[in-house]
Amino acid sequence: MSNADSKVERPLFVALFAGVGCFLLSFVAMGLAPWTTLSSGLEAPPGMKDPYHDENGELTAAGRGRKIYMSEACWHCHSQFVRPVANEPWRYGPKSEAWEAMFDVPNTYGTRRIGPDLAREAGRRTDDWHYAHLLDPRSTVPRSVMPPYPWLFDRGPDGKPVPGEKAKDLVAYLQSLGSAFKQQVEDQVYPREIRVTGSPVPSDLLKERGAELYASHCVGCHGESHDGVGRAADFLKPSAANLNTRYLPRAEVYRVLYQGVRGSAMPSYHDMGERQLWALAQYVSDLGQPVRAAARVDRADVLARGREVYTKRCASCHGEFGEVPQAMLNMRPAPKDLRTRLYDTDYLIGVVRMGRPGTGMVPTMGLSAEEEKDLAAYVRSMFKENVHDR
Amino acid sequence: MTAPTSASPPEDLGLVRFHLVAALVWMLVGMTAGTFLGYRLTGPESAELGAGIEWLTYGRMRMFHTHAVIFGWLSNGFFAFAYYAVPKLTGRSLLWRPLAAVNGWLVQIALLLGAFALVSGQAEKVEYAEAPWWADVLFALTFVIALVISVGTIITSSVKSMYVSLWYIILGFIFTALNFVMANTLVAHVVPGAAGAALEGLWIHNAVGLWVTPMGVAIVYYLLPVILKKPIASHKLSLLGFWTLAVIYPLGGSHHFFFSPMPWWLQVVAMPLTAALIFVVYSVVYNFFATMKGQWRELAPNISLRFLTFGIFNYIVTCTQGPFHSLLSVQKVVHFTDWIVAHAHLALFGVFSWWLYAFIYWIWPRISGRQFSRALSEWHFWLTFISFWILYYIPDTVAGLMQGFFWLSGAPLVDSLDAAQPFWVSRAVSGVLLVAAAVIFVINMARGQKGATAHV
Repeated sequence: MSNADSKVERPLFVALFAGVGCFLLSFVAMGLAPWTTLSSGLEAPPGMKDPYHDENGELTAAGRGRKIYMSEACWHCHSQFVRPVANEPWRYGPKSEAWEAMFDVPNTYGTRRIGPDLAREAGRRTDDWHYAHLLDPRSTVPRSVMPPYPWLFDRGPDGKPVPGEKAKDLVAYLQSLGSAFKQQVEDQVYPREIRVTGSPVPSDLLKERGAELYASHCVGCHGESHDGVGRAADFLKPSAANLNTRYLPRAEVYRVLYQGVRGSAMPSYHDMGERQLWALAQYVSDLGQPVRAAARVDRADVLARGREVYTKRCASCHGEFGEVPQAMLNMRPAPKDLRTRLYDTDYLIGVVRMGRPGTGMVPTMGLSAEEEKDLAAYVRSMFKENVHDR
Repeated sequence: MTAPTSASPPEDLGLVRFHLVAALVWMLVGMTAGTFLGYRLTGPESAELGAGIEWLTYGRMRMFHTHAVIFGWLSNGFFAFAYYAVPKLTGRSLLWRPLAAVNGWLVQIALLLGAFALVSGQAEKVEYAEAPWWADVLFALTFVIALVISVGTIITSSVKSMYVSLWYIILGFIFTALNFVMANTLVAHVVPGAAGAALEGLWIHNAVGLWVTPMGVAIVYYLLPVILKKPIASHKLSLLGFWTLAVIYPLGGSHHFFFSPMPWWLQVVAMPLTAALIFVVYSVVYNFFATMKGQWRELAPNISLRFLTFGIFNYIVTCTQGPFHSLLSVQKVVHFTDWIVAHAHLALFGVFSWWLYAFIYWIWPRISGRQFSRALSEWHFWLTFISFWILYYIPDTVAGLMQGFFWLSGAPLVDSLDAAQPFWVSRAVSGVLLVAAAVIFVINMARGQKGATAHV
């Protein structure tokens, strides 16, 4: 070969120029340069402070949770930046901004997604949902392949797992992700407006598809027998709806599926698409047919007495005629619009007596058994099959 | 200067053997962990396998897998190669041989410490360098010792003009020592958010590009002339390939974070720089093939040459994919998906592991005096080749497209799992077969007949 004594092939030359020199070049160009441009010119909202440390420099719950997030390598399956492309703002929320991560040392952007991106978790789900999902991922997402994390949980007095410090820290961290966009994300995840172009004629085929979708999305919380006692039941407050104790018209099921229930673990499924939603709506609506079949018109005096109780005890939250007052709609979860669903009598009496833990519905004290029955009858009479057809 | 010859051995074969055996142990453990991970993704039920056993949970095993194969398998293998090639090519024995022997054990201790930290839940978040600082310090120390021994031997030798492999060894060691320390200090503890990601991009990009690549290419430059008994075709091309790798390759690191909040200019710059890698790779590959000219028939009898050559084919594919990924329209779909996982395995397994196999097939008979069984060698090659390409690489690439397009469609996220799972099943099966092939390989090494010369 030629060039036998060429300088560029001397060991020291290669070591200094190729080894050290090229490292420094890339370090300056691809590392230092962006570092300096990013430390100036970032516009964070005023008052943004380090969410991971308190005034004394101690780790906050979110800070401790972030450590768990890193050591469990959650970031190997969950990225943490929303790209402005590939429909990601549509799926996750506003695209990620550089200043959002200004306290993240090291960064947790990640390079891989198997589960969803987590940059926009604030406003998306309840703590309950996260606890159930961390202990038993398939309880909330039946087709998930996420591993369970039982060591983040303690044993409660009854031997059942309860969220331990670690689980609480981790969930605090998850709930802090994207908190600057919390309201925007919530409004996107739980849309206020429903988009629907029409409803298909009910059919067996549709119901069959609905059953499939129920098994792959709903069974974890609402249970195999639709009684609201699925694998996630221990953690959910409010508990998942027992679908055997109520009749919801298809349009109302569609609405709930589309909008989700803010403040409960019931997510929105609007990304499922209209046809699938109708299939699921039919399946769930049909579960309530026995309740609907048992509907009867009660005597006018029963309803009048029930109405009296209702006006006194229920109307301030549920509305005089079932239309929930505007102010109450901000509750998490909001009171139910009683015109939209037909509950069975026993269920109503149960809720009147025990309340609905995890919601603003407290036990209604001091009613006689007779009054409870009258009240239930009145509430049932408020139901209007076609309330959505207005 | 001539191509390497097998004159009187100043090299320390015991040291080479030590690192090779360690590499193989890490390889078996690392591949088994990878197969376990692959199985876990095949469906909701398989995710429950061993669930609740903290140390075996997916995230921790995932870190253990990359730790074991990048640092345990490939790096031990590269140390072995450097300790063999440097004395051969400089004509003198290594500096501080006793220190090298002690360092061999220190490397394994550092790796075990790191592995322990990862599976016991003490990882930090720097991709591919998740081991915490107390394991990093020891590994960095052992790496620098290996650097001083091998690069020091080259620099203090009387060699004025080095053989190509030595350039790459110097580059790989020095760049990577700096890069590793940078990642475990600045990225892990100092630089926040998007700027941290830029530096992390530099690290992960060059852990592959400026450690695994130069050491792998050094192996090919060493073995091709030795096996074919002729010099490398073009000295000028090897200069071109080397310097473009050193200068251009490191500058593309931010392509790991396209469309992130990183400064946009940085991402724009990464596109042409990534595309330019075509020149880096094709110059080297052309040189290899020009050297092969007229001797392709030797692929049949020579397993070492066969792994080397098929590794070069894979190198062409994976390195053509890279620039293709840097097109933003492609990025949009494939980023975050299994497409990238397939691509990474094509590089780290299909290219560099195969080149290391080639080195082992070539060196092992010279170390152990054992002759490989022809049948077992063929089983190893064909099982590896077929199960990797047919059952891993192609299906996993498709799985990535499935994920990418399902995400794009706006369908519920779990639907993308359903879509990818048939292909992931194939990947899990390939894992079992690849581990089986690796076991055959190790048996072949351990049980080969003692004989005067080897036939491979």
